[in-house]
Amino acid sequence: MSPRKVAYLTPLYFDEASCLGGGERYPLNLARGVHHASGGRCRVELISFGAAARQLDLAEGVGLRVLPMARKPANPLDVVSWHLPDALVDCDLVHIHQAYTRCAEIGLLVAKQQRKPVCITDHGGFASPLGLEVGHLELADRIIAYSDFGASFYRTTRPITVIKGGVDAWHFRPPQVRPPRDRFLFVGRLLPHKGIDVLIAAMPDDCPLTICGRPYRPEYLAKLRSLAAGKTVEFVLDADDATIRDLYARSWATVLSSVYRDYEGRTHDAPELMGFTLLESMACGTPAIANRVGAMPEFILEGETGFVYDSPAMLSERLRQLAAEPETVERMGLKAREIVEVHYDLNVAGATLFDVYRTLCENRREVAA
Amino acid sequence: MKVLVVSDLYPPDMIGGYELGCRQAVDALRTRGHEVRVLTSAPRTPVQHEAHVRRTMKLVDAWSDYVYRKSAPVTVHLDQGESLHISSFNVHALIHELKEFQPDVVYVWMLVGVGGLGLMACLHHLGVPWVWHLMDDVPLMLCKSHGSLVPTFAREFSRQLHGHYLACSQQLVEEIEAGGVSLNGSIELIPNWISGNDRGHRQPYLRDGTLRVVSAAGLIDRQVDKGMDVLIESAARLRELGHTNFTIDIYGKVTDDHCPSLIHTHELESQVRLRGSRSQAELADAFSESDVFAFPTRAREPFGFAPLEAAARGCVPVVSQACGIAEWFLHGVHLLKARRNPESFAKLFAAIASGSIELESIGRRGSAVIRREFHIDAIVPRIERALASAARQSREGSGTAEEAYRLAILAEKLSKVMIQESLCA
Repeated sequence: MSPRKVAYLTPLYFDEASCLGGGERYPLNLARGVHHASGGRCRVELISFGAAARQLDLAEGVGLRVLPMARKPANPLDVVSWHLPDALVDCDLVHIHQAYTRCAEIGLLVAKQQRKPVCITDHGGFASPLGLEVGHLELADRIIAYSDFGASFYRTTRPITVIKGGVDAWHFRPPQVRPPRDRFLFVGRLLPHKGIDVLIAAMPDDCPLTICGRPYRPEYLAKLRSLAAGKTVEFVLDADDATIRDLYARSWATVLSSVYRDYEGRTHDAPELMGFTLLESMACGTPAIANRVGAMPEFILEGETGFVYDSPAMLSERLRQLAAEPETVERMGLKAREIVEVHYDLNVAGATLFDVYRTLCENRREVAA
Repeated sequence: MKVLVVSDLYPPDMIGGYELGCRQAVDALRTRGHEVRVLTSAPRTPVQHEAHVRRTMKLVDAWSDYVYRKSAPVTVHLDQGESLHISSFNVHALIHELKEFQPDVVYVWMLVGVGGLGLMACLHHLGVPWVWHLMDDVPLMLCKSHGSLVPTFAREFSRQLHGHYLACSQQLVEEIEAGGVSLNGSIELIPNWISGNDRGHRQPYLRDGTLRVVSAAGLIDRQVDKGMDVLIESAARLRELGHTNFTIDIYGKVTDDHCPSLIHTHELESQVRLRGSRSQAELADAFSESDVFAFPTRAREPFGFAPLEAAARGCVPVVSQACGIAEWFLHGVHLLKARRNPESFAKLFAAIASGSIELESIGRRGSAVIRREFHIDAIVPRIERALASAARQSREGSGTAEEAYRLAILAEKLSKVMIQESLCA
C-alpha cells in the first residue's frame, strides 16, 4: 500500500521566527520530493505549532497545518498541542522531525497509539531528555538520517536509512549567465560552532569574503566584525533565497568552517549533520570547502567538487588556490552540479524516502492482515 | 475460557457494589469451569491470599479524603494523573499477566485509581480483546482532569477503543455519551444481580403498625450523594403529615457530619438512625425485617445492588424514578418510584403507612422476578457469551508488549512533567 498522506511533525516551521537551520528546510524539500516521487498521489502535511490554527499550501502536494499550541513552552522545541491527535488521525504515516523534543515524544505517543508507522529524524535540536531515558527511538519503525555521521549518533536497534541530500536543485541552479566570481562565501547562522571566526582569520588579506546569515548572538557578531577589520569582509544579515542564490553564483567557493570546539571553548559533538548550504552551493555550480568536521566531508569529492581541510593553514592555502585558478573553480563547479543532480536533489532523496514509506505502510498492512 | 479480570479493588478490599459485583461474576465464571485470574491492586489493609487473585497493581487511594485534604495541589494533580490516566507500574503488571496467563479475553471492571486510561490504551495497543463491565461512568471519569472532560482524551478514547461493553442501564450509557465519550463497539445491557439462595425469614409488613424503612450505601457523605439527605428530609415531612410511627435505619460508613447534622436539626434522633457499616449477612437480615428500602439516590445512579438485595427479601424498594434501576422494573408491580425530593418520598411513605399501598403483593412479585431473572445464575450465561464473542475477535494490528510498556513510561513521564510545569512554573 502506498501512503496517500504523510504527516511531518516539526516543532517550528522554517520562518522568520525560526532559530534553527537547514534542518527545517530539509523536511520541506523532502516533502516536495516525496510528493513528486509518488506521482502526485501522496500529499505531505507539515504539522507545526503557533499561536493560532491555520492551514496553507506550501507547494504542490505539500501543506502546512499550524496547530494552536497548548501553552508557550520555555523551549520552543517543546511545543505541544491538544489538537495533535486530530491532525494525525487521517494520515498513513508520521515522520517526526527533531527527535529529542517534547513535540517528538508526544507525537510518537499519539502516532503509535493510533497504530501509524513512524519515522524519526534528528536535526540536532535537543530540548527534552525524556525520550532518551525511555529509549523512545525503539518505538520508531525507521530512523531516517541524512548522513553517515548523523546515523552514528542514533543509539537504537531500529533500522536506520541514510538519505543524503534533499537540496532543491531547480531553485539552486547555475545562472544562465554567470556573473564574475569575485569572493568566497559563508552561508549559515552566525553562531560560534560555525567557526566563522576561524574562517575570517584564515582569509588571505586580498580575498573578499561575504558572510551571509542571521545573527543570533550579538557578541559573536561583534567579535566577527572585529576580526574582519582590515580585511575585505562583507556581512549580509537579512538575505532572501534569491540573494543567496546570487551570492553562490558570484563566489569562487562556499566555505563551511564549523568546528567541534568553538572560540569560547564549548564543544559541539555534531556541529553539522549535513551542511545544507554546501549542497546548495554545489547545486549552483560553486565548489564547496569544508572543515573535516561532522558530516561535511561525506558530501565533498576531494579535489573534484571542492576541498576538505584539516587546519586553518590548509584552508588559507585552498582559498588562495581557488582565487588564483578560475579554471579549477569552473571544473569543480560543473562536477559539483552534476553530483547534486544525480545524488542530492530533493527528487532523488524524495524517491528513496517514498520507497521507505511505502515499505513501512505495506508492512503495517501485512501485520494488520 | 481463560479470562483475566482487571479491577481497581477486589473484595474483601472494596468500596461498594461495583467490586462486590466483580467478585460475584468471577466466582460464577469459575463455578462454570472457566479459568479466571484477577489482576487488582495491593489491598489497603491486609487480606487473605487467594491463588487466582494477583494483587500486584498499585492503587492511588482516591477515597482517602483525609490524605487528600492534607496534600499540596500539585500532589493531588499528580495523583489524579496516576489514578485516572497513566500508571506505567500498572501497565507493567498488566503486561506481565497477559504474558504469563495468556488470557483469551480481558474482563475489565472499575479502573479508577490504577491509571485506567493507560491500561485500556495498553490493551488497544496489544490488540487484546476485552469486555468492559460498566456499573458506573468509568470511561467518562478516565477522560477527565479535575472534574472537567479533556476533549482530546475523549476523542481518542472513542476513536481507538472498540470493544464489548456490558452496561447496567441505558441511562448509564446515555450519561457517558452525553458527557462526551462515545462507546464504540457492541453495547449490551446487563442488569445488576443478586447472588446466593438464602431467602431469610421475611417478617410481616408494618408489624405493630410501624413503618420500617431501611437504606444502605458504602459511604454516607455529601459528596457521594446517595440521597440520604433527601431521605432525612422526607422523614421530617412525614412527621409533618402526622405520621410518627416509623423508623429509618441508614447503613454505611459515615464520613462527614452532613447527615448527623441534618438529623439533629430536625430532631429526628429517635426515628432516623445511622447504623454504620454492616456485613452483607447483617444487611440481608435488616432487609428481611424492614418494610421498604429507600433509594433516593442521585439521578445518575447507574443501578445499585442494595435495592435488588432488599427486594429479593421482600423489602420493597422505593427508588428515585430517574435512576438506573428504575428502568428495569414497573412501579406498583415490582417496586415503587418517587420523584427525587423529600415531599414525594414522604408522600409514598405516608401512603404505605396508612395502608393505601399494599406492600405484600409488590414485595412478593419483586422478590420472585429478581430471584428468577436477576440472579447471577441467570445473568452469567450472558456475560459468558459476551466474553466468548470478544475472545473470537482478531488481534489485528497489534503492537508488542515492549512497545506498550515503553509508551506507558513515556506517557507517565510526560504527564508528570507537564502537570508540574503547569502548576509550579
